[in-house]
Parts: sequence; C-alpha cells; structure tokens
Amino acid sequence: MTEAARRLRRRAYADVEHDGDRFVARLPDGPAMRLVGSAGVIWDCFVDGATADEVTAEVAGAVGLAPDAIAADVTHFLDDLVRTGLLEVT
Amino acid sequence: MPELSLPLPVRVRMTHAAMQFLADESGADLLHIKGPALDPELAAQRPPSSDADVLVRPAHLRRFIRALAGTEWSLRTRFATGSAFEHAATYWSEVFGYVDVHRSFPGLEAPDTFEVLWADRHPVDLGGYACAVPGQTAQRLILLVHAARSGGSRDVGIAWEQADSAERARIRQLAERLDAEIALASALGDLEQFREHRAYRLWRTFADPSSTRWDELRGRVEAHPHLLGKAGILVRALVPNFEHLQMAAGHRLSRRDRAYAWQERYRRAWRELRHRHD
Repeated sequence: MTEAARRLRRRAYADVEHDGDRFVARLPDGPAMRLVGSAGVIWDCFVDGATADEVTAEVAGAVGLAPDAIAADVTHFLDDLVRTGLLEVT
Repeated sequence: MPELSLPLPVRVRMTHAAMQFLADESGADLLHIKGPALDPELAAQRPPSSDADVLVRPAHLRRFIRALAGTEWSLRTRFATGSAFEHAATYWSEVFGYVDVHRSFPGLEAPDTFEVLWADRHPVDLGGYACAVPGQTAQRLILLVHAARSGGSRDVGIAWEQADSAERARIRQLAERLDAEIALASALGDLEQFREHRAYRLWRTFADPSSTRWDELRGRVEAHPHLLGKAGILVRALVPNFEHLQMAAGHRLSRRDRAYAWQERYRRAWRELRHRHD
C-alpha cells in the first residue's frame, strides 16, 4: 500500500488551548506538539479512517485553496503525526 | 532532568487527561482534585498548580497503579515514603511533569470518604477528557484540610471566609460525615477544642511553625489507632527518606550520599532532642 493510500486514525490524545496556542499530546505519556498555523486546521479536518488525499481535500475546502497547492504540506504534517504517534495506520 | 517545553498550565491539564485515560483503560474510578479541577470560582483566586492531583478509589488502586506502570510515567516517591500520612505516590513524566496519585486525603478520615465524594461528583473537561471532580462543598473542604497541613491562609480565605453561612454549614456537615472535623478546626484556628483527640498533637505540629520532627513523629504515633501502625511509624522514622533526597539532589544517590544521609539523620535527631531539653 502506498503512503498516499494508507488510512490513518487518531490515537488517544489530549487537546489544550492556552494563551492562544493549541497543544496536542499522545496519551498517556506523550509526545506533545504545538499546532501552529495550518497544523491546527489539518488536525481539525482529520477524521478517523481518512487517507492523505481525503484530508487534503477537506483542508482545501476549509481554507479555499486548490488541493494541489497544499497536498505536500498536508502529507508532510500527517507524516509528522504518524512519526510522533498521534496518528497510526489502521 | 530534561527541560519540559510545554507551558505549565498545559502540562497539568494534559496530566489530568492522561490519568483519566489510564483510569478509563483500567476501569478505575478517579476523582480529579485541586488545580484546574477546581470550580472556576475557587480556581480563579489561586496561582496555577505545578502538578496534578488525583484520588483513586481505594479498591481500584492496584489496577490503576498497574496501568501507570505500563507507561513512560516513572515512580518518584512511593506511598510509604511520600509523606507522613503515606497517602500519595508521585509519578513523573518527561513530557507532562508530576502527578500525585492519592489513595487517601489526609484529614478526611472516614473509611468511605471516596464513596461520599464520588456520589456528588460532576464532570469537567480537562485536556479533552471528561474528568470527575468532587462537588464544590467537598472541593472547599479539601482546600481547607490541605491548608491545615501545609499552611495556606489564602485557601482558608477562598474556601471559608468567602463562603456564606449556608455553605459553611454544608462544609461543617461534610466534615462531620468524613471525620474531618479536627482537620477543619485546625484550618480555622479552632484546634484547641480537640485537645483530647488522638490526632490533636499531629495537627498541632502542622499549625505550629516551631514544631520539630520529634513533635511530628510523636503526633503521628499518637494519631495512629493501632499498635502495629504506631510501631511501623517508629521503625520507618529511623530510615532516611532516600527517595526525597534523590528527588532534591536530581540524581541517583551514591553510597557516600546514603551514608551521609544516615549520619545526618541521627545528627539532626540528636540536635533536636538536645534542643528540647535545653
């Protein structure tokens, strides 16, 4: 299965807003990350079972940009989330 | 010790979420107390907490601790050595910081304390998790008995002086139900009415800044209802608290450190004894 075709889902996480910043952390013992800029949009647009393409389409619709313009950034961020354990491959 | 990069309020809320996650996974009943678990009316006047506190149903303690043991959270102080009351264990996470896992709350002495607090719980969102917290009257009582033990006139102001007469009556009623009257009296400066109580001397040591370790030890021995428990307190008092020393030092203790701790333990005891008799 190509990375683009893999389906992802969230693992248990905590979500805290503080002083205008947004933080998420894998539970029960981390890691944690600050969601900066488009990261928060991507996180919020993500639904369990989605592929990178599906998330890209969702984000594109939310921000009013063409999917091609943001696909690389979305995929890169999803890869980060998988690497840190906040998302896992189903 | 690695530096934590999350802001403190974020860490503490996430800790509550992490503990609730583990409670849900293990089927443990958990109450979240103090800090961000307080009702906003009480929390607003207090400084941010530096750690999270949770109270586990005693019957579920083992399963909860087992769940914790399977994570990256590391045990820092055990129940037996964490405090004079042996009421809490402290865990540390490099990501989230400290959590105090309580199996009881000093001052709330009724055997069914957890059940009484649980019956009046309501959920609060902490880090995206629905966390059970005690009712506001219980929250006030917890702040008060904690203030009696650790010194906290601000919390007495928040939890008692700002309460109206109806709420004070509810606090007193709950204190009676939870066998917390002496602790409450201590917080409110009325300890003398409990002079005949076996825990009087113990609560007096917390209220009196000039109290020594001997005073506290004697208070703990007198307060314990059973002979074996009293003997256990005396035996453990002979041993330095290496866990606390290690935490304070920030590194594992060497053999020399431990030897020094033993010497210092008895040197200090001797000094205090001499001071008492001078």
